Amino acid sequence: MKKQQWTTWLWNPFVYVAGWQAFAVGVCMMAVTAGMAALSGIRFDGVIDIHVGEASSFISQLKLILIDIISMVGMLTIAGMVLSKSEYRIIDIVGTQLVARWPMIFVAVLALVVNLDPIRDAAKNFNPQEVGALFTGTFIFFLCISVLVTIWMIVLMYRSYCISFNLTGNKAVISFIVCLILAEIISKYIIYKIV
Amino acid sequence: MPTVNEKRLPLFCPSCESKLKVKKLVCAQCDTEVEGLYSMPPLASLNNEEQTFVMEFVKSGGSLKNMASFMGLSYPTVRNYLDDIISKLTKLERQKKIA
Repeated sequence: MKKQQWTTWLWNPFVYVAGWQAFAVGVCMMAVTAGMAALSGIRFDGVIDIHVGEASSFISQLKLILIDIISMVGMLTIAGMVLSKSEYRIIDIVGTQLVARWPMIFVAVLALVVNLDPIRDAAKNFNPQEVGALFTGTFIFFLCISVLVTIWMIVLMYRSYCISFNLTGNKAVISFIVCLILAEIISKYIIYKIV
Repeated sequence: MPTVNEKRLPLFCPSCESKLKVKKLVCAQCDTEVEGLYSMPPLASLNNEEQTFVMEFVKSGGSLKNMASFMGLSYPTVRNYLDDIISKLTKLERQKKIA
């Protein structure tokens, strides 16, 4: 039995957790993220999107996150089925992709703590001349954390894809980037045109 | 994993790094020696960690789930590790046929 390392838990937890176990953990994390987002008014309206909006219901937040996950899992599964020479289980990609979104909890919690009202007001009454005034210390801090957390989430999504379909190298990197872009477009389309 | 005093079977020549073959076998009981040129079986060409994995995998009845819980790793990680060993063994078998 190998010794578990905390850095692996942080950047590639799927070495230790996958399948139904990851699915259960991921569903709980998705519910917590949706709950926090509902309270703080953050919207995850796209696979890698974080937008400041009005506080909304838990169900509508859950819907947004579900659309993001389904879009991403759908694209990655198609790519994996085409590219992987290994045997794979759909539950692995579903479970690990659910867990891969867990860093978003930090953004949802941070949005509860920091005052994002000036951003909300600016979004309602957009004035190009006042854009510079929005860049307060709080907003820049929120922006930096959001970008870092998004990068972390993308790394986890990539690792989940590689482990679930046993893909490595350029094949994995290029197909993942294509899937991410397509999933982003699909999720945006579903959120703003269908739902 | 071998202990500190346990000898490891050398797989490659320390001089030219070619694959080693078996030249002599000795009976530890009566000192009878058998000489000849024998190829190493593909399984012996795996490293210690891989050989331990194969042993445990067979002992667990070929169950990846049991292996995952034994190794403290996830199912796809263990399956990928097995895939790596399979591809290594396939490559070794192909090399053996060519030689």
